[in-house]
Amino acid sequence: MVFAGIDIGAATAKAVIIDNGNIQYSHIIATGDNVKMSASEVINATLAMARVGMNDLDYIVSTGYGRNAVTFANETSSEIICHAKGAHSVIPMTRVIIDIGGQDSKAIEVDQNGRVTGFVMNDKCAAGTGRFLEVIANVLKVKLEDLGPVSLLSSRPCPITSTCTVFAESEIVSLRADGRSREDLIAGVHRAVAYRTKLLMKSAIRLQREVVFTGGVAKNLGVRKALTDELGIEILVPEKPQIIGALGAALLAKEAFVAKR
Amino acid sequence: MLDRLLELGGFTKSEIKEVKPRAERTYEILGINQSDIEGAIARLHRYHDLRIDAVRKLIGCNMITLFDLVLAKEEGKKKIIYADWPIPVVPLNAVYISAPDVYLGSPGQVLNLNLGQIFGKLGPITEAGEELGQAAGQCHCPLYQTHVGAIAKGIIPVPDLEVATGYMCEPPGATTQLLRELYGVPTMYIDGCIDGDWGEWPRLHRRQIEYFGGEMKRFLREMESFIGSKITLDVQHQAIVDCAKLIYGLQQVLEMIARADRQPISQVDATVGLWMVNSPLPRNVILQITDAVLSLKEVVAKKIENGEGILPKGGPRIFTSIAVAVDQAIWKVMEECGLNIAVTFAGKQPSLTKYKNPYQDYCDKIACGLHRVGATASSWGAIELIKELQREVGFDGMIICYSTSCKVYSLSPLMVKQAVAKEFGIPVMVLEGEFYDTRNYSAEQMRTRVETFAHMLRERKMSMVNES
Repeated sequence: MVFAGIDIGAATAKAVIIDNGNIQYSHIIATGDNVKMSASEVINATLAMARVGMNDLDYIVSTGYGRNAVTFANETSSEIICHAKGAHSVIPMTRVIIDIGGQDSKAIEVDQNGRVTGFVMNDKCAAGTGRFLEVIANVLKVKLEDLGPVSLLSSRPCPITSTCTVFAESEIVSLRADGRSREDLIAGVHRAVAYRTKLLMKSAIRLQREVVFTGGVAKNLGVRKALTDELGIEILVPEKPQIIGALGAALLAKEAFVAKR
Repeated sequence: MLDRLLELGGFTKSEIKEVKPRAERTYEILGINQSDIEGAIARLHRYHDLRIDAVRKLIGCNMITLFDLVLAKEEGKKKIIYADWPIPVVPLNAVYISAPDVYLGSPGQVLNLNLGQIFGKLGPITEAGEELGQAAGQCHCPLYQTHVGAIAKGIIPVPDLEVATGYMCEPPGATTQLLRELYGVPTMYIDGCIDGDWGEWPRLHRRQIEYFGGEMKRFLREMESFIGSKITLDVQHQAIVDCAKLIYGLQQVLEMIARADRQPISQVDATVGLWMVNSPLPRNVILQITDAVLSLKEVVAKKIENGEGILPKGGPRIFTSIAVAVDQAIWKVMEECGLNIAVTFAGKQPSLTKYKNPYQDYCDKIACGLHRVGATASSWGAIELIKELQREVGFDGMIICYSTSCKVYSLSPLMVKQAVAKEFGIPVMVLEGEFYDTRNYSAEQMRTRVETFAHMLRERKMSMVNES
């Protein structure tokens, strides 16, 4: 039996193909401006890797902001449910998931079975999201993937506003003009993201030890460190944090297929 | 096209002939064109079950209130009086009965229900209000931005008098001062105390009730001079009886929905009449709404008897405090996600039979009734009212509204969440937005959270069933 999960996020589209619950293949592309085309492109690329055709897939679940545009999916599910499912499958001790994606950030509480028992989501403002980091990387002329390693060189992170991406951008330009180093600025930005995430979590869920960090931003070592410092606990990061939502969708596809049979 | 829209308002062919000139003139003044009417027809189909005659009739009553408001001056009303929510409507309805040649209405509410719910075109009016001193992003009440904006745009007449009350919140009084400054409109106040004590509700302090009741009495005396007619005790009694019949009918509908395992009709349809009751209305319109509500009651009873509903049996049942007076979308999203909306905040009230309204005086009785609504008494009242409803109905979860531009409803949500979670252990989700202003939130953007919440409640319910 082969199942697929597709996560169409604001920044990237991800697909995962599983067989008996194990990840077989996964692929990530930029979402771009045509969600339907991205969905086809990402699934086709993943199918090619797996050397199977669309007809070989037994069930498909789509998730993410563009989930309803995935016309070939059998059903849709919210990304909160998918991240919970995916994170719990790779790290069964998971109790809290922090997911920071391109457009929003979420904190999800799950029980021992991976069922969602509470969640909170920031989707009104880009502050504290992947988009925020993209803007900052652009201002400081640093590649997105270099933000983490560069920030780890900082000895004195700058305090940066955590409430607004636009104001933070102008703040950074001013601080740069004052001679503050790129490392300190980026580390400051990471702290702002971590602080914002902590506030988000505090508003709705209980902080427990087994915190798993998912989403594209989890690949950033600087944000990982800042979150660990801010929360005062070690956070766990899956090997491929960006595909956790798509994995959850694939696992839900398997469950739905079995239930329907 | 206009005929089609009026048909959806439940008007018969002969009634359309009669009402059409008023509709045409009203929409001309409001700048409503053919494409807006097409949009309105689509919205009505999207949000309402138009197969139900009573729903169409209620929508028609809504339309009438708009025509009455916009055409008040042109149709020769001697005096025009505006009184917006949270005005005590019963004494105002008594004024209406005593002086039928006067127009008395709530422009903010009427425009919300028509330009908001039916046409989805309220933004420009609210913006006009913002330009006149109630700036955007400064937590001004959108209802009163609309009230001022509509006068500023000249789509409703400048009134001869504003009536404002302070028993619940401060925007009415503050806005009427702005209108005095801008247009020289005088105000008659019905003052009240906002400061209910912690732990007081539902047994309310006499000082609060008698002060508010006393203010209503003074208001009625002053109003007699203003309209030049006596507001007799018989008329006052008639107004309270009319209103009571309507509210009792509405409560019966909402009660049946609250108790039903399968939500028989959408809350959007169930509450069309409810929103109108917040405005002073002429007696003939109250009677029409009452007829429609009683007919809706029969429809709901029949659906329950036949086991019909808009959602499958056994789904999660929730309480929500989100109001949809301007835009029905968020309730539709909830229902589409499989949530049975059993009770809404302004909807079914708890059966407080154990706490009888102890007042005999007409105005004190009304004052007590209004403060009994809970949220209008205090944050404590809001919390306790919701807890009382939970004990009575037994929801699987709650979606609480954090209204960003309303001080009355912006403090209690987090307290409610904590109190409910602590006492009943059910999931509570808080959604924030300005639900009286569609520019400030997106129901579709909330879909992910609502969908997840629905999923969470379904799983929780299923595991509880399995455990038991």
